[in-house]
Parts: sequence; structure tokens; C-alpha cells
Amino acid sequence: MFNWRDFISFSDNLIGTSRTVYVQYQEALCRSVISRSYYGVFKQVEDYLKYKEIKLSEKDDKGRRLSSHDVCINYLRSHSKKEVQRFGDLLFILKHKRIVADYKAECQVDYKEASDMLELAKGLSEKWDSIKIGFEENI
Amino acid sequence: MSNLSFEIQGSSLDICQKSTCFLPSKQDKLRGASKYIYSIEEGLLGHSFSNYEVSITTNRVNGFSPLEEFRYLIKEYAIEIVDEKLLEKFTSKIYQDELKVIVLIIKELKKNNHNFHIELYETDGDIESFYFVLHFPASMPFDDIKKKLLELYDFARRYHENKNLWFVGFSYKRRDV
Repeated sequence: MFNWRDFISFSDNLIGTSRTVYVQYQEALCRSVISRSYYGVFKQVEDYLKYKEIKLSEKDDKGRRLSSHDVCINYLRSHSKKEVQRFGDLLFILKHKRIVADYKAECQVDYKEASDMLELAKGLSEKWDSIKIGFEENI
Repeated sequence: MSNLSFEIQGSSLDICQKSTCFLPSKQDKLRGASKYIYSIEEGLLGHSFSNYEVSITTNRVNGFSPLEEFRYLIKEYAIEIVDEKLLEKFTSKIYQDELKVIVLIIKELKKNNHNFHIELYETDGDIESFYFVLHFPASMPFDDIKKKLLELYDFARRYHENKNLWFVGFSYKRRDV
């Protein structure tokens, strides 16, 4: 089974080549790093919530349907524990950068941004193991 | 219409009557009503009234929706919104109590002299993602940016039931000005 964390390790390796191997594809590389970094965290969260069969609301309390990503992120951001809310807020920031990286050609994505998001993803991924324990108490 | 314009334009009694009975424009009404609403809300939130003039009657506030107030703020502060079409879709689905929180966030950002723009994205859900994208200097370390963004999340969380504002977030862009 694929380990989603490998996306983060791969991104770490990839960004290390940005000024040597892939000089002419600098922005493509930065966009890929951001995108894979996001999925490296998001898929861990999504898989865990599915595995634990945690009941996730697919609609908000006003009846609007949430996107597949927001179903998970909203769960984190609505959690009773502040630590988990924080995790969700940071993942939401990472999600914004991922949308820009994958869909917005008119926005420039640079090395610094890719590096920020990779570090953020590494931090979130490390934190994840302790964070998910808190879910049990929110069910 | 001012008295000066009346003197220049001359003899029409009709113009004279209009010029002497000043009727505030729609813009004036919006400006005044917004100040009034802010005063009330700031009072409720424990902030000072002193920065705002409370000179408007409640009659003018009646019928003034959070959406009108939101649009007024966008115009007043010249806030850049990436993709105006999505804004139309977004505002057609958002509820008044949610818009009120967004208005409070805009006020908070302006009060603290933040430069920002708004970005909206379509999702596979029923409502667009809405991001306040703050502008920071290019050299600013990400840890400092992150700290500021998390403070803003805390601010927003104080004024809404979190589950109702799942589509609103903060992000950043480094920009040299």
C-alpha cells in the first residue's frame, strides 16, 4: 500500500534539485512540490478518518454540500480541541496554495513559497500521529 | 446638488427646490448606515465607539442587509477580488449571519492596516472557498507569517460558530511594495 508520506519525502528530494537538475523547470517543480506536499498530508487525514469510520458531515448545518476536501478539513477545524483546529487551519492554508499551484497559471509560484509549504507539510505530517488521537474524544 | 450649481443654472424653480432640500445620495446613506452598524457591533464586541460618528437614524439602517454592507466595504476599501463572477455565486449562497462575520474580518484587517485581496475558488461542493490573502514583505520568514495567520483564525473563530464558516480561510502572498 502506498505511503502518502512518500509524497513529502519525494518533494523534499525534488526541491533539492531545483537549482541543479531542473533549472529550466523551476516553477513547474515548485508547483509540484506544493501540490504533492498538500496531498502528502491530506491523504493521511482522509484515510485515517475513513479507516476509523468517523462520521463526517457531508453537508453543513444549512444544508449545503461540502467539497470532498472540505468534509475532512471542516471536521478538523470544527474539532473541540484547539490543537486539532490549528492543524485544520494550517491544512486550509496549504490547500489554498495547492489550488494556486495546480490551477492558476496567472499566479507566479516561486521557490520560497514551495519551500514554505514543504516545511509546513513536514511539520503537519509529524504532528499528525499525536493529533489523530484527539479524534476519539470528539466522536 | 449645491447652491453654486443652482446659481449657475439659473431660473428653474424646480431646480431651486431640489437644491435647497439636500437629499443624501445612495452612497451617503450607505456610508452613514455602515458607520452606525459598525458602532453598534463594536459596542457589542467591547470595542470603543469613539472612532465612529453615531449620527444616523435607525430608519436608515432598516433594510440594510449584510450583503449591502459587504459590497459597500469592498467598494469603499477598493478590495481586489480575484474572479468577480464567483463572488456573485458565492454571495447568492451565503447566509446573512455568515456575511456579518466576513464584514467583521474585513474591518479587523483594515483596522490593523493589512494589505490583502480576496480569492474565491470553485469546489466540488455547493459553495466556493473564500480566502483572505494577506500581503507580506518578500523577506518575511514563514514562521512570522504563520503566526499572524493563526491569530486571524482565532479572531474569526471568536465571532462565529466555526462549523458555519468552514469555507473561509486566510492565506498569504509575499509582495514587495
